[in-house]
Amino acid sequence: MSTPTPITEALRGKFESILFAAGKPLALKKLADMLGVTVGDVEAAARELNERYREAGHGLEVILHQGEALMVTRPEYSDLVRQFLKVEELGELTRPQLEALSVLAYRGPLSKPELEQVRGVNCSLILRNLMIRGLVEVVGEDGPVPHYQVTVDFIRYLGLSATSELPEYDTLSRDENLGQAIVGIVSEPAPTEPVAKG
Amino acid sequence: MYEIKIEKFQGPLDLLLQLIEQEELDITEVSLAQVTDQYLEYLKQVEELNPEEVADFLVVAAKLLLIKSRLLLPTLDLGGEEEASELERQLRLYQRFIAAGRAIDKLWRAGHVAWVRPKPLILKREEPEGPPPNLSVDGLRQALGRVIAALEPIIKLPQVTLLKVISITEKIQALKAMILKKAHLNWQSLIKGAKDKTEIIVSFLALLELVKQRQLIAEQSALFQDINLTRLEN
Repeated sequence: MSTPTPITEALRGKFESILFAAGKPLALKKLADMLGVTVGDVEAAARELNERYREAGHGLEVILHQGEALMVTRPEYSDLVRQFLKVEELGELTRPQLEALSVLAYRGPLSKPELEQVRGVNCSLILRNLMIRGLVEVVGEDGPVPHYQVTVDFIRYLGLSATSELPEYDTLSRDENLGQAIVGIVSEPAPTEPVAKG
Repeated sequence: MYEIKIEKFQGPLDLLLQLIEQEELDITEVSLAQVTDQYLEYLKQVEELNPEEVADFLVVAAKLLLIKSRLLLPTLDLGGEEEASELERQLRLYQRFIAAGRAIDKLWRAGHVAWVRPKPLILKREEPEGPPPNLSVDGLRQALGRVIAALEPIIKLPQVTLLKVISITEKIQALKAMILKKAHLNWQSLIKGAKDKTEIIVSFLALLELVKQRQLIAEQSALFQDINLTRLEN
C-alpha cells in the first residue's frame, strides 16, 4: 500500500481518539478540517488503523462509507456484544427490499428513476420502507434530483467495513455495460416528485 | 403449451426472468421472444395488480411483442432495435443484482453485526468538566472542622432511659421456655409475676399465638376459671 503522504503516528492517534469519542458516523471532511489535513489523508489513516487492528487482533474496526467514518466492534465478536448490549435480532428482509438494497449497495447513490430502471418497478414504497428501517438515506436533497444510498448502519449490520467488501463488488460496481444500462434511462428528464421525508 | 409454475413474482422483470430460467434459456432476444406468449398468458391469470404495477408490466409486454415481431418478420423494418437490446441488457443486469441480493441476504442472516455504542458519550454540558476552582486540601480540612463543630450540641443531648416494653415475641419465647420445662402450666401462675396490665395483655396475646401455632393446648373448664396449658408433642 503506497500512500501519497505518509501517515504519521500522531495523525492516526488523533483520528482514532476522535472516532472513539464520537460513537457515531463522522464526516471525513469535518475530521480533515479539525486535523488540518486532506480528506485523502484521513481516509489513509482509517485504512492504516484497520490494518493494524486486524493484524494485532483488536476488537474494533473502522467503517468507511460515502465520506463518513464510524468506529465499530469486530463482527467476529458480534454475538458476545449483542449479549452484553441485550439487543434483539434483526428482522428478515423481504425480496423487494433485498433487490433495492443490493442495487443501492453496489451502485449507489442512485436516483429513484435509476433504481427503477434496474428493478423494472416503481420503488417509492420500498424506498420509504427502507428509510424508515434506517437502511437507506437520501443524499443531495437540495440538488435537482434526490439520490439514495445505503446507510453506515446497513453496512455494519452485514459485518462489513465498506461496500467494496461485498461479493463481486468490482464486477458489479464497475461493469461498463451495467453502467450504461443504468445511465441509459437517466438522460430522460427525471420526474419531479416530492422527496419522502425519512 | 407448458404448464407455468411461477413463484410469486416481484415485478415484470422478475416474472420474465423466472420464465426464462424455467425454460433453462440464456437471456437473448430469441429466448425473450420465446417466452412472450407465456408472459402475456400469465398476466391474464393474475387478477390483483394495482394500476401502477399494471403499467410496469405493460411496458415490458410491449417490448416483448416488438422483439417477437422483429424475429418473425425479419424483412420488415419495424425499428426499435435499441429497445430490444435494452430489455435484454436490463434483464441481465437484473439477474445479476438478484444474485447479489442473495449474497447480501446471506450476510444479513449470518448476523455478524458490528456494534456501536448505543448512545454517543458526548453529553452537552453548560459547565466545563473537571474540579471546581475553589477546591483545595486546606478548604476540605476547614469544612470538616465546621461539620465536627456542628455535631457537638447533638452529642451532648441529655440522656434519657427509655422504658423497656415487653414485646409479644419476647413473651412467646418466655412462655415456650416455661412450658418446655414444666409440660403443664396454668394461667394464674403465669401472670403472677406480671408488673402491670400491659404485661398481662401481652402474655395473653402470646398465649393465643402459641395456640395458633399449635405449640400448646389451652383448656378452660368454665367461664373465668383458670386456664390449663399443655404442651403439644411435636
